[in-house]
Amino acid sequence: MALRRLVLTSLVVIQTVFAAVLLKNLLPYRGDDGLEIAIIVVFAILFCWISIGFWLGVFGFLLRLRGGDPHSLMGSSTEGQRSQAAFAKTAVLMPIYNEPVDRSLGGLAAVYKSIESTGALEYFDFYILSDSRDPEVWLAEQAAWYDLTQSLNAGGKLFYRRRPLNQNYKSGNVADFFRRWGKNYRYAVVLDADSLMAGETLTKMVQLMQLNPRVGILQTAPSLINARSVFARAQQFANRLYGPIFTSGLAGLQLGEAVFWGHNAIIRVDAFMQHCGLKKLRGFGLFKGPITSHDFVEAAYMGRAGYEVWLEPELTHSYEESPPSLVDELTRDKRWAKGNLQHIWIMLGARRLKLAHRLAFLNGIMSYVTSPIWFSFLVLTTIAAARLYLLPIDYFPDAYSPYPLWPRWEPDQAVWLLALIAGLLFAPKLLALLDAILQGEVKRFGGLRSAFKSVLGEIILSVLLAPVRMLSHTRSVIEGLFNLKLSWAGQNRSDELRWRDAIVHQAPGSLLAIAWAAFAYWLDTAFFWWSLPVAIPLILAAPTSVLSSQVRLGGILHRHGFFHTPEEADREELERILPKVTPSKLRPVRGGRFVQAVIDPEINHVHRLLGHHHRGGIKATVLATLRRRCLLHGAGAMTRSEVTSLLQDRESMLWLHEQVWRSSPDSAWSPYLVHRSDARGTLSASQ
Amino acid sequence: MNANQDVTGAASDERRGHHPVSLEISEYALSVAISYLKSRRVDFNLELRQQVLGIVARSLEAASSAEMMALLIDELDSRFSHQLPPAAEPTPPLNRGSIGYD
Repeated sequence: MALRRLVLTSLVVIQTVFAAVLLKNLLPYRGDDGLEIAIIVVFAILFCWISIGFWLGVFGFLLRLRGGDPHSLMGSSTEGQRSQAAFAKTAVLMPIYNEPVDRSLGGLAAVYKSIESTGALEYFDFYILSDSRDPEVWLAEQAAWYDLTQSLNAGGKLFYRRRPLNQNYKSGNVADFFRRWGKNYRYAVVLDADSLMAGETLTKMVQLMQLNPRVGILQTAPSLINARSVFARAQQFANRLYGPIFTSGLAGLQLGEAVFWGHNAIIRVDAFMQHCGLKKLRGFGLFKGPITSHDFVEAAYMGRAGYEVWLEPELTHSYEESPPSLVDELTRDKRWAKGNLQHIWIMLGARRLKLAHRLAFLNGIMSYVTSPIWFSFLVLTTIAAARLYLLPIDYFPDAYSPYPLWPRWEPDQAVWLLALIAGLLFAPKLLALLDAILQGEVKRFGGLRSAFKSVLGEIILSVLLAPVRMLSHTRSVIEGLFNLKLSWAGQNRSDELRWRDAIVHQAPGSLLAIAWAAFAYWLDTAFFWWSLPVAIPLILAAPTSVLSSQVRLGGILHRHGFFHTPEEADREELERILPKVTPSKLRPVRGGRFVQAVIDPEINHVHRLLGHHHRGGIKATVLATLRRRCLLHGAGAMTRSEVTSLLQDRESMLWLHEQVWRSSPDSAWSPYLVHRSDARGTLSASQ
Repeated sequence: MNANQDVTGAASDERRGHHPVSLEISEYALSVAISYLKSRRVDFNLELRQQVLGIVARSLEAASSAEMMALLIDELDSRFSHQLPPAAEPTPPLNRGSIGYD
């Protein structure tokens, strides 16, 4: 482990020093003044960052070339040993927050059926852990839960819990589960709302945990599936083609000191409950209050307690979905940026953490902080260029040197440095393509021709998106550091982006880019050309966002051989492993979910099971008044909080159900009780 | 009560923002009865349909407009056994544990 890390560190440091020296010799004053030193330092940080990515890719490629990592967790046992390992009680958890119900619970049902097909269902229980606030959403969740318990015959195995107060975000939701039922289980698998995991993968994970009692968390590397828009398809392709070499490299470097990504992973419940409680931060501003990005912290605490955390890329058939558009990704990144910035406090202040986990925090922080650093680099180079052309030349920047320094700006030579950077960024992508060829996988990407043009397409798209991401992340980091209020919403997993929204969202960046390019043009033509790779993508950000969010365009590109992935090629295989399930109770209902909850006897019964009993007092009196008003004036007359109060009260739901069916024909409820065709059919059948 | 009395209530329903119910009261009562039984998973056949028609007719004759639906539903409840499938428990019994904060 130490040797691998030493080699990687040495390669990165040597390469970064080389590049920094190259830059120093290119700068007008050869790094002899404060501004140029700042440029070199900022450049070195950015270069170091991409160098790490490059070498991780190379390392992963080499590991896969030799047939996998002999030091991986999978390598510690044979297939025979794993299949002999006994199972243990495992909870499959799906925390959800205002998510599309058919896809989240349909996905959980697919996982259920997949585990059932392995014959190990008796060891697994399933929990839908809802934090949803919108009654239309959680009513749909509850209807779907009921429907799935019936259709899967999953009574007593598939459970539903909705927290009345969603304290401490997702980690609070999962902790709430552990406090209530954690003691019933040895392991817990955490899924995201868009997660899918095959039964065979899950049973293998349980067996690996059984064979390795020092493993606290075992993380899979999920592949992206179900992409439809251009953006999501490109992300999916990149994840599927480039992912294996990068995750193999990362896993090979981290070994038993990996991180937790919050989902598609299995955790050892007793260790987690004992050591991974998350205290609120007691600092100031951003560093005060609940930890929003919990997963890295939990991995670090698990490591501190002496348990291992593993990332295992060999565990296949683990899936998630990509955000459908750039704007959705950036909205999500806003939350993640804030969460990662919070880790500064833990990285610097928490006691007894492993160095690897402190570096993992740094890695997460740098994922976002590199954007303002890149932005600073652009600002500093613009100042340097402006100084060169607008201010009198300083021939003696060093006060103690008798020799004049002739400032020069040599963009031609900078091309070589740019080529080196481009190599670091893009060579691993070609290496990943070579890996697919060597592993015999390239056919599943649509063949070599299709895979190659997809790599080129993905590179073009990533070049167009990189400056937009940089500017957005810069804003997110600033907002995060100043602890500005961020809205917490479920991820959009379906809608295309509208032109108006895209223009509003991207206008500040586009205007900034136009102003910057215009200034560069006024300053010097050569500098103008240098500004274009960043300025053009920012100017085109709105059309890029809209077009890349389009499902139709995604389909057209796919038909022309772009962005094919193995899961699409083997769709039948995927559906065999994870059969598609759609809860039938989710079809649209007249009047909305609350009306359904009042009228439908089964759904009404479900809500009474999930509701509370109020014995008397002021609350009971208020509820009695509310339900009488609801009966008289209909569901449309009630506010959202009134509807929520009624739904959470067993007596009110039963009373409303009984009274609504008995209400007079001119009642506000009558339109929802009748189906004209029923009566006509009965009359004609009886004649 | 006139069995052919129009119960559209269209104007008042539109004021409330609902779809107008343009059914005659007998047809409305029959529709509700069928919806009620269907929602309780009662299997319909010709004999049952005729029984329902009879119950609806008696309810229409026996009660005022305001009470007619209550009488009808009570009668349906007493005449048809409709056992809904038992709903599963949403959560298992509590087995509380605590979270450690190192």
